[in-house]
Amino acid sequence: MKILTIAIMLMTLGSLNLAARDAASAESEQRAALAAQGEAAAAAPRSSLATTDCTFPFSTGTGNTLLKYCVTTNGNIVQLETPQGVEHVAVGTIGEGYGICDLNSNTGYFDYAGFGDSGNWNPAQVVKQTTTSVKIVRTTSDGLFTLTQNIAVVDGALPWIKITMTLKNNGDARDAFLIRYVDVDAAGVAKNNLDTTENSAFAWNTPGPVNFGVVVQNVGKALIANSLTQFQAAGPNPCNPVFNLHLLTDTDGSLGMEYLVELKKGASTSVITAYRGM
Amino acid sequence: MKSVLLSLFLLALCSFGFAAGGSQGAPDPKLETAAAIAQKRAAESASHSPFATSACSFTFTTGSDESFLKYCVTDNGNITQFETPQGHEHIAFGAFSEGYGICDLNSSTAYFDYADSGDSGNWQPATVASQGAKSVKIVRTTSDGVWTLTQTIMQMTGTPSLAVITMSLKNNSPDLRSVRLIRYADVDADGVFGNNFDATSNSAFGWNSFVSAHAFGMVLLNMGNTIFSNGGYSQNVAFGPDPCNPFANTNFTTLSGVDGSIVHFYTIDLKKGATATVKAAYKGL
Repeated sequence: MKILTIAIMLMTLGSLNLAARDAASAESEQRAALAAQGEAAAAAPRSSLATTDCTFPFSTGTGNTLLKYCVTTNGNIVQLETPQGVEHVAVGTIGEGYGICDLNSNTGYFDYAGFGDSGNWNPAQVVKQTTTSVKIVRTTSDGLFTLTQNIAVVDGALPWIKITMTLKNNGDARDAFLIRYVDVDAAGVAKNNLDTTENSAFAWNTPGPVNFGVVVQNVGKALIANSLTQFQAAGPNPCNPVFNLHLLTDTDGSLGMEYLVELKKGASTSVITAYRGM
Repeated sequence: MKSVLLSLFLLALCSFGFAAGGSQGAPDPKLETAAAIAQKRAAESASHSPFATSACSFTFTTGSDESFLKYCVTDNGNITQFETPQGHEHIAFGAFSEGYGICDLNSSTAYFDYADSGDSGNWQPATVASQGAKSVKIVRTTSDGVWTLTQTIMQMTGTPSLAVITMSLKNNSPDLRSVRLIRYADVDADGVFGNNFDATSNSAFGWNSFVSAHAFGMVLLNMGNTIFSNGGYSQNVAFGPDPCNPFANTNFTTLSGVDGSIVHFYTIDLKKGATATVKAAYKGL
C-alpha cells in the first residue's frame, strides 16, 4: 500500500513538474516573441507623426458581447478587446493600420502604428466624431492619394468593427493596392494559429483556457480582394506583401486584406473590412 | 487594363503559393472518394427512425455577393443545406448531417437528431409552430415527455448574413435536472470532404486554406451572453457526437485535411418546469 501511495505521489509530482515546465516554456516563448516584435518595431522606419496613442475609444456590449477598441489620431486601431477581458492587439508592439502601393510608380505609403510608418503622409485630420464612429482623412505628402477612413462600431449579439476605407486618386489614372493589416496576438498570446479563406483571414488559439481569436473579413461588394496571413508580426510592404496561403500554427504572425483598386483621374473607391471576435 | 491587372494579381498569388509550398492544395481525389464512401457507410449504419429526414422543407435566401446566404431546414429542425457565398455549399454534400442532441445528465439518456447521420429514435414527431419569410419555429418533445426543444431558425441579413438558431429547452419532469445541449454540423467546406477544423471558446469552424481552389468555410458561433457553461470544439469524424459522450472524437487540436465536423455544447441545470434558451449562429468564413 505504502509503495502504491509513493508511486502515486511520484506520478503526481511528475505531472505537476511537466505542467510547470510547459508553463515555463510558454512564458519563455512569449517573452522571446515579444522581444522579436520589439526588435522589428525598432528597425522599422518611423516619422514623428506615427503613434500608438489611444485617442478615440469605443465600446459596446458586456461580457461575451463586449467589443471595446481604440483608434489613434491617424486611424490605427490600437486596442481590440472581445469578449470582456480578452485583448488581441494591445499586446507587445501594437501593429495595426493601412498601406497603399501606387502600382504605376511602385511607391509605398503605410502607417502601421507601433510597426512604423512610411513617412510620406501629411498629418491626419479628424472630420467627424460620434459616440459610435470616427472619420479620419489623410493625404499622402506627394498629394496623389487621399484616404478617408470611417471606423464604426456595429453592436448586437455578434458585434464588429466596420472599417470603411475610401481611396481617392488626386492625380492621373492609376492602379493601387489598398491594404488593411493587424498584428493579432490572440487573447494576449503572441504565437497563434493563422489561416485564410477567400473572404477572411483569422488568428486564434487552441487549446487552453484562453482560446479566442479575431477574424478579418472583406464585407464589401465583390471587389478584387485577397485575405492574407503573414509569418511576421510587422506590417507588410504594400508593394511587395509576402502572402502565406497555408495554415500556420504556433506563429507570431499577422492578418490583412488586400484590395486591388483601379482609379481614374479624380475617382474614389471604397472597401469595407470587418474585425470581429471568434 | 482590368484584365491585365487581374492576371498580374492572380499570377502574383500563384507564385506566392508555390513559394510557400505545402499540403493543402487541390483536394486529393483518392482521399475524397474514400471520405465519400466512409460518410455513406457511417450514415447507412447509423440508427434512423421513420421520422429522420434530410429533406429540405423550408428554404431561406438572403443577401448578394459576399453576403449571399441560402439554407434549408427540415421538418425536424435540421439545417441540411448551407450555401454562402453564392455557389459555395458546405453541408449538402455527401451525407447531409446537421442537428441537435441532448444528454439528460441525471439519467444518462441521450436524445439526438442529426439528419442523415441518424437519430436516437426517442423523439415524438416535430410540429411547426410558426413559419414566416425569414424564420421557422419547430417544437419537439422527447418520447418519454421529459424534454421539449423549441427551435427558432431565423435568417439575419448583414455582412455576412447569418442563420441564427435559438434553442429553448424545457424540463417537463418534476425533478431538477442537469442537461447537455448540443448543436452539430458535418462541414464539407465548399463541397470538399477533407477540410481544416478548429475551435475557440465561442466558435467552431471548418474551412479550406487559401491555397486550395475551394478556400471557403463556415463557423458555428455562440451568440449573446450565455450564462451556461459552453464551448466549441471540432471532431475528427463527420458523424454527430453521442450527447452523453460528446468528446470521444476530439483531441482539442487544429485538424488539417480531415473529414470532420463542428460542435457547440451547453451544460445547463433546469428546475422542474423551467426553460433555458441559448442562441447560436452559422455563418460563412
